[in-house]
This record gives sequence, structure tokens and C-alpha cells, in this order.
Amino acid sequence: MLFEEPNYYELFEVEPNASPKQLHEAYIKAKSLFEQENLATYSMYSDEERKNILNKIEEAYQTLSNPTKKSLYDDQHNIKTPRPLAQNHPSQKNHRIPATLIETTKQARTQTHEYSQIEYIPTPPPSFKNSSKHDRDLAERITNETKWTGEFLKEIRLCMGISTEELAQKTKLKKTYIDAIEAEDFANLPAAVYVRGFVSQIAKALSLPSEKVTLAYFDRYKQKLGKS
Amino acid sequence: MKATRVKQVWAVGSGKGGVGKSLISSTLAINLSKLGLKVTAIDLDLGGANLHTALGIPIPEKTLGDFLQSRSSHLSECLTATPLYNLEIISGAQDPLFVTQTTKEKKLELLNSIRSLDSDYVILDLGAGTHSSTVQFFLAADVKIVAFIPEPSSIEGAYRFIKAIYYQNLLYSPELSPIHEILRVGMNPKNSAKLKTPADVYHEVSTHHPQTLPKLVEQLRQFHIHLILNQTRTQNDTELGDAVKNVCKKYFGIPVNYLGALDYDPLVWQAVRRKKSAVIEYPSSRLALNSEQITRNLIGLKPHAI
Repeated sequence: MLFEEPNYYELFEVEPNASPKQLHEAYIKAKSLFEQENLATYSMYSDEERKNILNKIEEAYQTLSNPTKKSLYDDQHNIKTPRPLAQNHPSQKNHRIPATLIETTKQARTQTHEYSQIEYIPTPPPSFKNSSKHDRDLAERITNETKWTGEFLKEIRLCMGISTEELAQKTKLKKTYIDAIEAEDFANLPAAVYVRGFVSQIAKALSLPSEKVTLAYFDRYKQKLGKS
Repeated sequence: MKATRVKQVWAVGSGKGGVGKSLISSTLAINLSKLGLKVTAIDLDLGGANLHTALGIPIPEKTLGDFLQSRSSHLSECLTATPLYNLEIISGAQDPLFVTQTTKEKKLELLNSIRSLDSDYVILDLGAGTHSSTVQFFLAADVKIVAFIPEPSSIEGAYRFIKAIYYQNLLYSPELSPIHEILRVGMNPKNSAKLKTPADVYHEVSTHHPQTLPKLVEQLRQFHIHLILNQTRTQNDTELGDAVKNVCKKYFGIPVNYLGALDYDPLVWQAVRRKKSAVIEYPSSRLALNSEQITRNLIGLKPHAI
């Protein structure tokens, strides 16, 4: 029907099984379209309309980038996703570790909510069109990761298609601190208490289990500082 | 009724002047003629004609004014040859300003005569803005092309132009007469009835005239416009075309096709300065290549691989 409120997928012009990267790109594109200075929209929408649309875009992204919320939304709107998301695995409920990279990044790529609040169910590597072997390997490594090195955080970030600038914007951290954390260049980081917060922020932004990441990273940080 | 040769009439309009309508019209006309099709380009920028210059020919003797003021009995008497074998033009050069005051009947006669020209395609180069004649000519075309450049005033102008043709097109439809009043209110951006957007108008119709709604939907579905973005310089500029397309589709609820961008090209400027057509002078320029893709796309030919 004409002039109907678009659903979240129509809003972003993506398919229900779009990869998190595609979703993230569509989100950034939609958001920039309705920014105040955008040439294509500034003369067509009032500030209030623009604000409402931006709120909806935000809400849509928060929903679609979160597997649990997405699945609920799909159910409520009778949207069929080719591959059902984490559900119907009673034996594996309350599993709090990211099952696969694809689970955490392909659908929840840049969500900022508390990761550990969500129940993730480990599933076999999904058969998404865009899930490459590399993605699946990385997913497995994430599941088994214990060290959480800066290098690995960087690898995950790159795999998610997020630039340092974007991550800096999301986490409100200085770009140099993100670089230093990824390079484990501890000399260029501020006091320990800050570093803990930084790592936790980054982990959340990358939809990783922030507690585990922070603990592992911070252990290494303390050890190295102790030696030097 | 005698079958006419004219397959399609294309019109190029814009909300603001200086966005390259004559360049685009002449370029499309040249491209079609190079594909072996017989083309007539008509300068309907009454009072501001410059299509002949864009095609690199001197000021023609016979002009549209001769037809509009009945000095020529048939439109074909006003044709002027161009250096291209398949391409003729009807110029509006040197016509006095009062030709813009042509009667409604004469304009209808002109539109009918256009269809009886001995051509495969007729390209109408329109004046800028939303003058009633311009809107009438634009709506009479089979392929409706709105040109704009990546500048705020041009984009605002394009939206204003689309809004004008959008509502006027609906007002032309006798089937929609029960909702003409609502449409007229919706056309006025400062109306007090809170019908601010086409969506508001649509909902108003669906509430108060549900029996007319299917006809409105049908009209909107058939109202297809094309966009060409001229003078692009950066990747962001090029993407602007898609953004404007999406905004139009959502805002007006009509099919919109973004034909593509024509990159800013200093060669064009040089050619214009020498009163030459850039696509003829520089057949391998980006303008020539981009515009050829657009032309092929419009007539349903496969694009060339670049």
C-alpha cells in the first residue's frame, strides 16, 4: 500500500537476512540522509519530522542489530527470515558466551547494549550468503578465545567493517587510545582504571562479552606493567 | 486515426535555470540520432531559447514562434537541419516574449503537431520553473526527465518542480474530479487544512473519498519520472542522485528512476564557449559516454560495457 509506515527492513531497504555489515551500512546511510545538512532532505522535511524519522531509524537499528529483539520483531510482524535466529534450543539456554562471530557480529554488529543480558544459543555456523569461511573460523576462535589481545580485537573490528573512527565515535574514546589498546601500547595509555573502562567500552561496541574481554586484557596489562 | 511515426516524446525540465537542460536535451537527441533514429529536438524554453547553441548551429531562421503565431501552417515548416543527418531542431530563438502568452488551444495544437512529426523521437527542451505552459508540455511527454545539479537551490527547485507536476497531473485527470479540491489544498504548502504532504492528501482521500482512492493509486502508479543529476564532481555528489530518488519515492509515492549522473567536465564548458556540442566535439569524453548509457537505458538497449 502507498504511504504506509515502512517496516524496519523497508526503512533500511535491506532484506530480513541482511548481514550485520549490510545492516550497519544501511543504518549509517539512512541516518545521514536525515541529518540536518543533507542536501536531499533538508528542504523536504521539517526539523520535527526529521527528528521523528531519526528516532525511528535508531529504534529500528537497535532492534534489528539485536538478535533477540530482531527475532521478536520478526515474529510480531510476521516476517520470515530464511534462517531462524537463536531459539528453540532449551538445552543450551542461558549460554552467555557469544556462540559464533556471526551470531554476535553478523546480527548484532554494533549494538551498544549490555551483551551479557542477552541469551545466546550456540548454533552451527549459519548458512548466510555472506558468511565466508574466514568469518566462520573467526567465530569459532571468538568462542574459544581466552587472551583477548589487542590484535584480536582489531581483527574482529576490521571483520565487522568498522573503522577506528567509527569505533571512536561509538565509544566516545579518543582514536589514539583505541590504536594504543589494539597495539597494546600500554605506555601511551592513561591510568589503569581508565584502561579497564576503555577495553570494556570497546568490547561492548563490538558485541563481545565485555567482562571476559576486560578481565583477560587487564591481566596482561597488569603483568606487563609490573615487569617494566 | 493514422498511426504516427513518433514513438516517444521526451521532456527535460527543472525547477531552476542553469542546470544544463539544453545540454542534456541536445546530448540525448544527438545520442539517439547516432543510434540511427530520427530525432527532432524542440526548444520550448519560450523566451529563453538556447538549444540551437547547445547543438552548435547558428540562430535558425524559422522558429517555433512562426507556428505559434500561425505564420507557418504546419510545425514541420519550422524544422532546421543540424550537422547530424538524423537530427533536426525546432528553435525558439529570437521569438518575442509574448509567444509565452500563447493560447491554450494553440498549445494543444502544438502538442498534437509534435506527435505528427516525421521522427522516431521528439525531445522537448523546456524552460525552467513551474510556469503553466512548461508543466503542460512536460506532462504531455511520454518520458519525463527532471534535471538538477548538486546544489541546494537546484535540489529545492527540483522538488518544487516535481510537486507542481505531481499535483497538476492529478488535476488533469477527470476521474479524480471528486478530490480536485483536496488536491488544490494539498498543492498549497501553506494550507491551513494540515494537508502538508502527499501522504496527508492520500490519507484524507482514503478517509473521505474511499471510492476515489483506487483511481488515485492508479494515477500515482503510472506517474513515472526520471532524474538526471548534472555536473557531479565527487562520489558524494553521485550518491546524491540516489538519495533524491529515494526521497521522491517515499514523499510522493510514485515510481522514480535515477538515470544517472553526468560528471562535471571542463571540456563541456570549453565546447559551450565555442558554441559547439561537447558530445560531437569530444565523442570519448565522460559526458559522451555517460549520456550514451543513459540514452540506451531509456530506449531499452543494453548498456555498453565501459
